[in-house]
Amino acid sequence: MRDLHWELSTLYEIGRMLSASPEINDLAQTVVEAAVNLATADASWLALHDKQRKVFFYGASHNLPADIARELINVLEDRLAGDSTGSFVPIILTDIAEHEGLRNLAEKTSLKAAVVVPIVYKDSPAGVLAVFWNRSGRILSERMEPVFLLANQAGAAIENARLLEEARQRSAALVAISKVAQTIGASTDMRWALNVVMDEANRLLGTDLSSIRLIDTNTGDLAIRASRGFSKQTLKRIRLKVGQGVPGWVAEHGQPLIVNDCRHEPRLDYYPCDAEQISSMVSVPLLLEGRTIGVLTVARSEPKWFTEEDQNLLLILAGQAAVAIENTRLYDQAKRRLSEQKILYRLAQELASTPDVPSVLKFIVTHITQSFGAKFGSLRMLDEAGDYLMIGAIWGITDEYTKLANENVQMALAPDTPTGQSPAALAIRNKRICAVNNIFKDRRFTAWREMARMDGYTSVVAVPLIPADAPIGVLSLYFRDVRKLQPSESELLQTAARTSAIALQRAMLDERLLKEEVTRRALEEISHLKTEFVSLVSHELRTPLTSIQGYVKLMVAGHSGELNEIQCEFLNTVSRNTDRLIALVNDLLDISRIQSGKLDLVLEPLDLRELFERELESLKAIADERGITIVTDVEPSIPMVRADIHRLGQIISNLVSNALKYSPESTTIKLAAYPVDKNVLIKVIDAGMGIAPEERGKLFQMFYRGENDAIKHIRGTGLGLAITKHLVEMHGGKIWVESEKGHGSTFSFTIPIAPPGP
Amino acid sequence: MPKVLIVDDEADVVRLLQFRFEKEGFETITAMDGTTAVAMVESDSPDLVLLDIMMPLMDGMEVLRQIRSRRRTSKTPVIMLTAKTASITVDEARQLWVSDYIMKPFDPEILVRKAKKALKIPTD
Repeated sequence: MRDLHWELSTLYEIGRMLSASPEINDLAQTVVEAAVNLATADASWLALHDKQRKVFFYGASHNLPADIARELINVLEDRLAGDSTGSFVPIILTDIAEHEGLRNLAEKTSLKAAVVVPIVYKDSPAGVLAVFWNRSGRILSERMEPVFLLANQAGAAIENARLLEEARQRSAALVAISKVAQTIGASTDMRWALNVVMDEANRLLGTDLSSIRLIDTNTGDLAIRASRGFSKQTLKRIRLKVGQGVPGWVAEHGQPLIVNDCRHEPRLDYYPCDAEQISSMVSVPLLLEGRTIGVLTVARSEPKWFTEEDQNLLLILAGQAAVAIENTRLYDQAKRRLSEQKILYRLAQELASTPDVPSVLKFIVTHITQSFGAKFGSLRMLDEAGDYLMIGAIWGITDEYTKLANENVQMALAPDTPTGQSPAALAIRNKRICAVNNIFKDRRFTAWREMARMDGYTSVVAVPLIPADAPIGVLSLYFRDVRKLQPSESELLQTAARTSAIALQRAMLDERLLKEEVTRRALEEISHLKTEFVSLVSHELRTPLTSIQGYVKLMVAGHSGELNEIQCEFLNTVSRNTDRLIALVNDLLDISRIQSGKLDLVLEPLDLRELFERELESLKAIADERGITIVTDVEPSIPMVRADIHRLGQIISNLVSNALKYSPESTTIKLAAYPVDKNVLIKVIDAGMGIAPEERGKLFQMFYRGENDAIKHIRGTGLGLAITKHLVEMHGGKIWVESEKGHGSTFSFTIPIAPPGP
Repeated sequence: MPKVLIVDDEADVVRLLQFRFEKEGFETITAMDGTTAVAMVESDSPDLVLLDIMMPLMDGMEVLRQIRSRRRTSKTPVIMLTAKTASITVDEARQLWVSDYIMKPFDPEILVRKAKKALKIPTD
């Protein structure tokens, strides 16, 4: 009766206690304390069973030193494992000192007897409860029974607590993952995103140490990009490459790895023993599209094992970290592209609206130098021969350079000159960007170190401006500190240089065209003035000359009364000089028209016989005076020619006048015309003194006068034959001379036959 | 006795031609602008007109056109005096019945010969 009552009240008490401790750790503690109370024992110990890994782990203890309590798990491990296979039988030890593994416990404590009871729930182990007494020998059943009762009850309670814990963990994990996902989705700061991942991992897995390492594909380094819990000193000492250490193994294989006993893990040899204590760790790969880009590792100092579930959770977080890294990479890339686009857009926009070359030069050097954060920049232009560079524009430049620029100093490009070995010269010669990361360490530019020290730069980048295939200049950027251009930056600089080069060339072309346009307009104006002048002279000079010549001729002809011999001679002199003046005016006007291209022909079909008759009529007086006969030889059937009546008349008149001038008295001049193919060949044949062969070539040159003494007295402008030749050629004909010294000359020219008219 | 109308805006030239043609036995009348010239051709019916091309207001070509547009004077012989080459084409000359032309400055003797030829008066 008492037993039943006791049993019921004990059961009630146990149930009350167990149900008050929903947490597994609290529950374990409650159980060990209850065991001591109910069994009037002196100490107790509890191990819990890990269902997944099928191993026992330390749960709680009461009245036992901590180190001994933790060691017990190792001692009991073998027996517990054996027992867990099927039969769960309580073990009763009347003297624990008799058991080898427990001798240490017996020595360090006063404990003597023990009962080890399995805790079972639905035929599977949930834990082990051990209860110790200070007295050795047989244990009273009333002391043992509460232990059995407690063990029976604890099975269900532990299972409940475990399920609750699992549910709670799962929900916490979900919350954490969702939080991480949100954080990462909204973050463009990689370090911050990685810190969030690690904090959540530490919180979920109850760890205090964590790190994220990323693989450098170039060097194979596994550099730590974020960490928690490690000191700076440790971080410096735990440098790893792919394949080294636990993270290295994970990086190499792309597989997660749990190390629950760090003391015996050979892959942890690298880890310094005086660094932060680690007893177990998990490393998982950061996978991005199946590629391992890094490793997430968490570790803890307390000897608590990691489960597969922990590992899976960590894998999810690692996936988030990978996304964060990729996001920030994409974001950085997008940001860089955007800024590159901005630089190029601004450049193109500004250059398109910049009108003159100096402004274009100034803008290029200012914008690009500032965009790349250089200390100063210079733009040198290649001279036309390509031998020298001259400062085109500068920005942020030192006094020295400003002085150079002001003096417009030329920089020789030839490789054997000192300046020919500058980065700018190399860039021009090789038509490639020349980047000097550190001028004080680059042996190619030792000669420039002094200058660099003076101007305060360390790095220099020279990029040639090549609009098509030939460089027109070079842009140099000078950086205060060591500046290694990233491939994308180098590409941007070259694109900017190309854009600039094209704009610059266009501006230069525009400027040249503008100059040419100004010149062209000036020439047009001059030409216009010249035409005006010619027109004015032709009228204003001819009008008085008409009167002078007319009146003189009247008097010479005796119309104003009889003249005495002297008067007649003098008036003839006036008349002859008037004729010369008229001839000169006419020739100069023609030359002026020819040179300005203002001599226009009005081509129409002409009858040569009429034309000859008209022209010869004007020359008859002179011919008669000198007793020279002019005969014509033209068939009546001669075809019409296509010519300008005045100009063809002028050609004939010039040639016949010349023949008259150079013919001895009482000779004959023959003017003949024959059709030859599509032309009419016209000949002016005289019986004059003839022309020496060496003179014939110069005959048609402007201002050429015969050098023969015999003709020096014959006056002329030296323009007649030049004008004649030009007029013939304008008609589409040719002119030439055949002559033999002393046997007369024959001037021949062709004029096209007029096409049959309507 | 043929009647010749001398048209030129230059008084010296008019006087020169007047003198020379009167010497030759011509009756001369003169005009120093285009409008007067057109009116005189109409009213005085000259046998020959010596017509300067370059004149202010109405130039010689226009005077010629107006003369030719009147039936009574459509065939009156006209010799053009020109100071500029290419100021009259053969085609124009043909269309406007130009008898002849002479370039300024000219020898008055040649002009006289041309005038006689136009009037079909035999020369010596």
